[in-house]
Amino acid sequence: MESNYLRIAQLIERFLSDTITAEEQQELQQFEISYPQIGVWLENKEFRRDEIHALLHAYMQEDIQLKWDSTRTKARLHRKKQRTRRLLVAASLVAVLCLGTWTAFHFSGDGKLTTVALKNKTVVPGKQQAILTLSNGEVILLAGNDSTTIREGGNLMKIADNQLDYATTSKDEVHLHKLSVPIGGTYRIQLNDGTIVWLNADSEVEYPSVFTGDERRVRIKGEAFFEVAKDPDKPFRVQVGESTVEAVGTAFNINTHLKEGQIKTILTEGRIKVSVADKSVLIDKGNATLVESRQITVAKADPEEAVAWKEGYFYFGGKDLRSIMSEIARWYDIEVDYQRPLSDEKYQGGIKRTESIQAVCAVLKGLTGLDIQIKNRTLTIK
Amino acid sequence: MPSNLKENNIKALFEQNYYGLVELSCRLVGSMETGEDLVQDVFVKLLDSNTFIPEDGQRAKSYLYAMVKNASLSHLRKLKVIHNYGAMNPLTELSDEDILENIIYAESINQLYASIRNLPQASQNIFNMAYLDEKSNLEVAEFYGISINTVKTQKRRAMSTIKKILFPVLRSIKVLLF
Repeated sequence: MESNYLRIAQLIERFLSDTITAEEQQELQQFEISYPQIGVWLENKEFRRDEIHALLHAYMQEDIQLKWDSTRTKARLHRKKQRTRRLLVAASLVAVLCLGTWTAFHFSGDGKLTTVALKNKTVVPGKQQAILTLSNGEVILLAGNDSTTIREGGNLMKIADNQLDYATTSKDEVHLHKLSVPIGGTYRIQLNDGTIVWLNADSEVEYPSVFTGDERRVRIKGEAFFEVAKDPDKPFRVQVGESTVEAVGTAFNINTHLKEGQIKTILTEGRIKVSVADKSVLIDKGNATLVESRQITVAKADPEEAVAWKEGYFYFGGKDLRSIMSEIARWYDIEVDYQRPLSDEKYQGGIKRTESIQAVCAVLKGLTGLDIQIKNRTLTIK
Repeated sequence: MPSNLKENNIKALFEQNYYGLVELSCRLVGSMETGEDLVQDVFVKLLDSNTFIPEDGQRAKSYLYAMVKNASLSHLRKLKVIHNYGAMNPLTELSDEDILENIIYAESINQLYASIRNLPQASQNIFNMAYLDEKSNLEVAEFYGISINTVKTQKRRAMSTIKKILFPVLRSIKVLLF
């Protein structure tokens, strides 16, 4: 923009409001030589002045404080988005670094791998947080208690009380969304049909914003608890790895975190069908299935194991130390260093997930009789 | 995260220039709603800690006009690409003369608004009611729940202040008040 424009505008304003000095009047006349359109203002003084008064009158019907507030809200959302973007960039950097270190380690043959990521934060329990990816690739960080709405095209999603809610999302458009919960997080989502899904740390669910067609299909990784809304005409199917869990109005927990390549589904209500490859089994409430190497086994289940985490507890019942430790590591975002061979012994008990890591160590020490210590971000078992 | 100081500065710039900037953008893009959005987006950028703002008030103002102008023109370019908008909207072919014309409107609105904001609160209220809301003596008195005589005294006092700053504006209210 030409640097003179602002000065000219201010001189003309003074001319219109009769506050212009003789000197300024001269300056304005000088400008008129280079900018002849100024003449229109000088000749139509009263008309232009009335025009401007009318415009200002219209503007002043609105509250400038409200305008500022909405701008600040936009800026806050913008910063959040930027932070998520930076987080993702940082995450990909870490991934590249890890790969680089792995490669260096792999090819140098040196047995000692030094830790790359500098983790000097104090260890704290996980919290309600997740990352939502829209079908257009936009990434939104969900954290904190703020109630807000998210829009994609004609779809509106609500966030309140740490729950992402699609229940009132308009059915005119379908977008494929993904909700990812990082290590040290948990989140809850209500799908368009009313089904509620709790996601545990290091887990994700992929789902359509609106269910169309004759089935309701979602895909998960990690661990999730489903409370499926009843709709006998539209079976609810959860795709997890190569296997599918089919339900009509039931509640169940799927966990792939227990053991590499293993999927454990615990049914707490109703009836489900679990399939993998060409095999499938039907199980009733109180039972669980284990899918491993395309084989399905059925066993009696401990319903507490299915629901404890979403109620805010670690549940140790019937688990060996390695499963217990990996669940704790995912929640507190720590490493575990096993300095002794572990037995297959199964433990009982539990602890609140809001406890400090020190309290958890103390409980585990009492439970196992082993020497368990936390230092920086590493938990050592001796 | 911008410091409080920075945010307060930006807020002051916002209050001093918002309406004029909206006027400028709205004249360029031809939509009040889009104009407001573009101006608010400019301030969102400013609130982001990495954006530089000149300390000098006049330069900051100049900078704001340039940002809003550029945001508006790039919005128009986008429209042109998406909808071949230029074919039916001559606004996309803006001359420098048009820009100057629009900035005069914008800055006149800002200056007038600033002179009203700088009045003492009582004078502002009177001015708003009498001029902007075109209320009568009696209506103003009833609104504030005070006697007509008090209103008259206050008005006279307010008017003498306003006269100094905004004499010409008063011509139209004079008939109304005295």
